[in-house]
Amino acid sequence: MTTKHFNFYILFPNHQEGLHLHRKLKEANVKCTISPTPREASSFCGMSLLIEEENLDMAAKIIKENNIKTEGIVKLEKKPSIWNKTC
Amino acid sequence: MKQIIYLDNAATSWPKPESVYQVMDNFNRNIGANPGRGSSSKTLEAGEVLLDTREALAKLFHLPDISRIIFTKNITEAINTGLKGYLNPGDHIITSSMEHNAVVRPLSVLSKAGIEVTYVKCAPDGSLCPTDIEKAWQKNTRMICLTAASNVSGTIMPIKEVGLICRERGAVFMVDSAQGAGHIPIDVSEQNIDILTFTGHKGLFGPQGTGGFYLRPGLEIRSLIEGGTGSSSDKTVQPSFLPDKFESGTPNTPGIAGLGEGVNFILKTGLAAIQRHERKLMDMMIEGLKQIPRVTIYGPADSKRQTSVLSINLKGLECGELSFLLDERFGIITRSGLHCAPLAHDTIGTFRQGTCRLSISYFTKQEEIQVLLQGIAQLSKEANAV
Repeated sequence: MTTKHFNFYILFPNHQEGLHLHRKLKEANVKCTISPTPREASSFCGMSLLIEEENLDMAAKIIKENNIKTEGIVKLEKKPSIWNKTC
Repeated sequence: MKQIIYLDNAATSWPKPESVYQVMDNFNRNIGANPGRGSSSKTLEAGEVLLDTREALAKLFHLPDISRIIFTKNITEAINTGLKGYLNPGDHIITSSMEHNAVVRPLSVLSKAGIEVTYVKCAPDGSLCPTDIEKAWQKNTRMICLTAASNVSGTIMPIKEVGLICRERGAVFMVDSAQGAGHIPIDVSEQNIDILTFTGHKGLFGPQGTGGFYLRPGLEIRSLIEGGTGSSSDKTVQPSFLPDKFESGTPNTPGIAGLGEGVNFILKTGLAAIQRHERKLMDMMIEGLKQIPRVTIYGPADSKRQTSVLSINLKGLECGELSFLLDERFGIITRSGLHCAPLAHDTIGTFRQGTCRLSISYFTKQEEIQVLLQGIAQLSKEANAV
């Protein structure tokens, strides 16, 4: 039996909020990746932040502290991809 | 190129800091993408430009939520949005007799749509007594709109005092900071400002075609235009979240890059240092002009009570002739006439003749003020001989 792996996408209403969180996560040395939003996750702004599961709590804290608006976090099964934009 | 002395900074500041030209050139040459559209690296880079500028503005004006900073094409559009997006028929608004037509003309339209408008009369030096705002209060007063400083006399308005009255009595306080931002401290929390409108191309050292407003959290107003925002593209209705609700269509990204750099210049230089320089030159100009016969100075004639704007007339010349001769004979650029502010000119007693307006910036030099004073002294002698 193969183990399933998941990606966690933070979704945003617009680029403004996504870029704002990206900047704040970078300042806090929290690893995240700017990612195209999978169509099955959202039809919102086209960008999302891919984040490791162990960093979710830290991200939630930073989101709250900086009053950043998100459209939630989506958990999707990891699929092979050839892209990567790591911060 | 003819050497000029530019004293029309109240119309638009010039020159800009060198870095403003550089970031705009860099954007146009090397970035050039449309922010918020898709998710390409270039688009994200353009989005960072908007974010940088919002963060710089937030530092300067002490704005707690950067997503509530909205960019518009100029402050006139921002003021129109504040007035028309908030007021409804039956509402009452109080403003001053020193306002620019950016406020007065939209109010003229709104007054025909059932909105009551009261213009509180200011003193002949342009100053406003805050208690006069209280005296004009009505049961249906919903908004106070006030300039931070007059574009005609430079008179600084009691923003903090009026902001407190609005907070205590429960009305929205909107400030037109066109002549104040970059010259005097503006703090939305300390001054109880609900809607802060700003222009980019004057004291903030950005290019023309930039401006915007800040909307206090919790305050909702209507948008005046709708369209594509790059967000919620599956919906045919305008997003309700900010800044997208008010930022339809492609923004002036190169201009906003320049505005951000202009604000960064102020933050690096320090508003206090800018104020010190401007006050020193204003003192020099006011004292020098007082020594020249036939010159009339309007407004407070006190650098602590006004920004870097001074209106004058020279007996024997129309204000337009004075402005023309300063330009033609000495290369000094000023602005004459009514400065889009008929009510302000009526208040200071110059509606009929207008004034010649001299407005300096952080980049104005002492030697330039000396040339100005010599030039006006020369014209005074000539006018006397006619």
